[in-house]
Amino acid sequence: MGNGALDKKYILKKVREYSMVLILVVFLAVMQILQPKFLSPANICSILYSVSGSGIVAIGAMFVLITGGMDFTAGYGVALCGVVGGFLYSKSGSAIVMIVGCMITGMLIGLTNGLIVTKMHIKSFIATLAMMFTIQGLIYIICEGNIVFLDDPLSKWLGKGTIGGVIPMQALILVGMTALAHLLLTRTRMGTYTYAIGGNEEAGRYAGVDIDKYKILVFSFAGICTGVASCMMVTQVSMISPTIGSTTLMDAIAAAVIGGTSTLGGKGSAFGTLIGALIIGVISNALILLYVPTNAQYLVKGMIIISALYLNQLMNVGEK
Amino acid sequence: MLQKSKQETGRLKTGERTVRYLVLLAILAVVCVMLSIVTDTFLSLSTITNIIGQISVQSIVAVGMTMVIITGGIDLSVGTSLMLCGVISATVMTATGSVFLGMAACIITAMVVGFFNGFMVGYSKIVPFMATLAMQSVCKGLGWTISGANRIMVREYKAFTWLGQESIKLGKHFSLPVAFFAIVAVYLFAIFMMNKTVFGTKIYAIGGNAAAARASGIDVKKNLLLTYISAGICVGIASIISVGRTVSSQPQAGTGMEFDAITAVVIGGTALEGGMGGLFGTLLGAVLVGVISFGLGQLSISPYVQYVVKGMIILAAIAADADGYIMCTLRDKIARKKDTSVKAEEQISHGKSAAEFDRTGNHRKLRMEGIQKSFSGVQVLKDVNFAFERGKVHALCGENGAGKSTLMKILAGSYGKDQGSIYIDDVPYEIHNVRDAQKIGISVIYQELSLIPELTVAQNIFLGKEMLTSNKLLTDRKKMNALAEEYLQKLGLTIDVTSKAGTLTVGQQQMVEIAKAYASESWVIVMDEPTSAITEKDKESLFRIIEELKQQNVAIIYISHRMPEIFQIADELTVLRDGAHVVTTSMDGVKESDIVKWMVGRELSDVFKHSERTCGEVVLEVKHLTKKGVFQDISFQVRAGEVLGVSGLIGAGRTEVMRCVFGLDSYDAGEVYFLGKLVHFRRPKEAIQAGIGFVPEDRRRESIIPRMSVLSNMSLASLPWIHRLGVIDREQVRTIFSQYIERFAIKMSSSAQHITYLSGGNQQKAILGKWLARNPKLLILDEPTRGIDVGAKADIYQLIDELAKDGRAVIMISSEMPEILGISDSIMVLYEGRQTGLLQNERTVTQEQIMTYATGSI
Repeated sequence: MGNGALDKKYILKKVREYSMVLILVVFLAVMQILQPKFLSPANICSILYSVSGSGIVAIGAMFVLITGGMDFTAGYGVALCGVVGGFLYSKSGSAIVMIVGCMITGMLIGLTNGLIVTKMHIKSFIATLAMMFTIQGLIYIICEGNIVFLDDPLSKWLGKGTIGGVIPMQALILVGMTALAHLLLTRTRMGTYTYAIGGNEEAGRYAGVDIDKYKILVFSFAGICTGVASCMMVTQVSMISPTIGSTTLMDAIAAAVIGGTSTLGGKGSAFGTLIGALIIGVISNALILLYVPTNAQYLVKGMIIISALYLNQLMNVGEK
Repeated sequence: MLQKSKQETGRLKTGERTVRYLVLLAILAVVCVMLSIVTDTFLSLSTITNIIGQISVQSIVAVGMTMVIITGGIDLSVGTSLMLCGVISATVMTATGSVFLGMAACIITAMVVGFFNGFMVGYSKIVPFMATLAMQSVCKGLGWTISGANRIMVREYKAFTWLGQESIKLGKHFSLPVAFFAIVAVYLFAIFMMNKTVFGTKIYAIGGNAAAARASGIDVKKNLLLTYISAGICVGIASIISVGRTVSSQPQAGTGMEFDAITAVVIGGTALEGGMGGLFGTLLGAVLVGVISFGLGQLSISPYVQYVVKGMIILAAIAADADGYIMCTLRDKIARKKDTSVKAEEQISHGKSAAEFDRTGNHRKLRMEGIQKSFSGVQVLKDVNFAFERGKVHALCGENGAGKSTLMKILAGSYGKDQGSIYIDDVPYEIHNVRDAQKIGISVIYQELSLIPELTVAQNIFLGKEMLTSNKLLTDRKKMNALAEEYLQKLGLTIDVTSKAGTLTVGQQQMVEIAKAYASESWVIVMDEPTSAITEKDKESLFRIIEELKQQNVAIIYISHRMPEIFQIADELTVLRDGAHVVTTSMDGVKESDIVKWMVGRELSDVFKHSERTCGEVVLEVKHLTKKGVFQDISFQVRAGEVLGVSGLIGAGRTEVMRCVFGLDSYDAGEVYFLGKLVHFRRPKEAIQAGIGFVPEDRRRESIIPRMSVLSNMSLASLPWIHRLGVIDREQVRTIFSQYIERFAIKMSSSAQHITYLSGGNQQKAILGKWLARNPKLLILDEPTRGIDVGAKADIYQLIDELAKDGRAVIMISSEMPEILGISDSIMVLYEGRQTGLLQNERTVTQEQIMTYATGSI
């Protein structure tokens, strides 16, 4: 084997590693040619606004996926956090109480998921499915169909504020959460064990890792992500309705998987998930800019996700 | 631990499905009684009509979902697909005015959606979850685009409203909705299909074990495609009813339907892993959910509370499962009650817990005494003694099933022992779990390596004992990398500590495992057949490391049955046979023949039967077979009445060659002649039709469908020949296979017992019966005696001899040298994908001779 062959192999490997970044760049370039407004600061901002919430949910979902689990509560969870936050806001009038309420609700959802999965030995797929129904009911029981409007300066700043008039607060939080997730995954025990649980749970147990504890932690973190995302989504539109986050679950899981997270567990990265979320956001935005009718957007989005899955498959063929 | 509890609960499970149905029926009855007490209108005809109306759509969708889930998949597109079908059907009807075309359009649309799902899952191997999720979006977009997200009225088409709303009079005062008959018809047909037809059996087989299904000649891709299309048909039928119920196609129809269907399936006892469950359960699940929501509605409880109740029902149903939380807790409690007396006694007799162990002390010896262990009433360890000390390599020998692994798992804390004690320097200690063993300083390196592929070498070495930086939050990568580097260097290894474990070779991974054990400062390191999967070069460094560890005063237990290795590195030797201790001795003066005799318990000629037989025509001839990067230029032939032994190290390409011959994998070059004709089998089915049988190496992974009856397992390879119009001929199946069950004396409670609960030997006999029923000209056996006890082994050797005497050709791949030498007429040896030797065996070939070929020394 010559040096050339080795180089080629190395390049191929790198291409595979960054395949989704490439797809994103190509997509951006094509869009820019089709629609010159595409890469304007205003449009970039609007893309960032649209992905920030679901992107953070995707990061939480990714943690659960890496452990080999599944979290169906991510979608309605956003709404439940929201309505609890809204309830607290309407009682207290304080955005801080609302934000804290959102986060705690999210964490409690995750904690419950984790406890059901570890203590009752129910697979996360079913456990979170059951929780999804429960949450769906709780949302309406709590909000009774009411909509709460937010007019607090803090919530305005969080939802529509910018840093230096350019970078939206929300984008900053998304980047911050991605960085936090990256740090957790690569530099902490929790991250190490997250991979260990998905890669080879039994081996983790043999190494003396308290698997149950870390599963609960992972679900709780995913729940907190839901809470954060909920805060961002409600402050963005300055109101809390029980229907927020209705498409978030599928978008988030699609983002994580397109970003290279394996649904079988053991694999995934925060950066990849961010790229996945951006791809989904860019697609949605492009469909609007290209005047694709709202109804057809679902169709195109589904087909693009299928293409992405096929492309991913193609990239991984030579890996073995 | 998990495996153990599964094995032990095994017996309880034969009637598991029936029990589950009874439980569901009981719950249903209780709910009905309660509702009829609380409301006075519950037990009326209108209630029944209402409930049937409510559940009609989702219960029919759930039929398809059940089938998909039994294959191990999931279909998230059913909801939006239902809507799309309605839209297309309504559009077609308004355009053409034909009800027939409308219905046809509905069903065809659903089948097309199913086709795409099935194609993506079966042929493109996209995870079902993602494929159908994307399809969900596609269907929604299509449906809303066509209808403009408006509803389309179909009032004038009576056939739809008849199906969705009308009732059929069965008496003066008694009538049932048409939808009821639709549900019954769909369920009856589907239950018949799943239980009685070839297609149904294939669906169960694919979900139970796709690899084994493929090796039995089932076209997995095609059948997955068909399953998803069938699920589509169910959606189509449901869509017609749905349109009829609302007299229109609704843009919101089917919202959340996928979750409702999954709920019914899961409550009905169908497991998401696939291969288990049934439609009757799904029906009960759907009815239960329907009755409860209706009842709550009657009590004027808000529909939102119903969601909460639904969630609780799912959890309760799963927890009530035979394997679930409630049953397990109960079983544990009962077991503990029985055990308390024994346990207390044990506590008194063996004082010290692992926590009291002082790692700093210089302990010399460990002794296991009188160890006993049984699994489901079968004693695997009978009063075993085993002792070893620091600074020595102690070889632990015995045939497969002799109890070596069980003994080591007890030492490592993975299994509890029934009786016996463990002494360290004459002080008794209790090892209750893996952590106890770690505290004491015992590390085991298993055959299946236990590194985490996505973590770095350093992270793997320090798994469970990460070092933290001064802030106590982050792991200290620098320090761990440096230390890991140091450990590797001490063992003379050059592996990049920052590379991911998954990118290393098997040999390197093993070295990392040893470094991991070394880093945990273990003074006892157990290696379970460490050379079974590594190259000669890696073996040399392994032995060097073992030598190094010995110098550092570590006790090494080396499990292997490779004689040359044992003589090369071991200082002491213990032999186990049939779960009993045979001998412990220093290696001085021990001869190879002694060890074999200790292991086998009798002279080799007693075990291996080799009757006089004459070789006939050439059955299989392989010329220059090559698969790039796997094996090159393999040529051999095997005659009728001949046994060809294939030897070589694991990873030499033995299995791969035979998989190519059988059509499981494809090859790049070369020719295969079967009975004189040039053939190229592209899938196992062709090879089976031609007259080849193949018993794979890994029984659990590739050979058996664990949760399927013995009889069904045996009939899998014969499916194309034992049906009438797709319906399996049970009578014929029974007559064919009962003769093999009798002839091989397969021990089981009934032929309906799940095969997973049989012993390894009986499983293997059943699998042999499965192939013999095809009357094959050639039988390929890959490690046919792996993991089965000595008695069954002898049976299988005798069987192989009989097969050859009958004039069949047999190819046997084996890692056990005595087996190869004992029963084959000719021997082919492979080394790293090359053919290094082809020998005639007239009882003159020796183990050393084969070893030199197998290790590429020639």
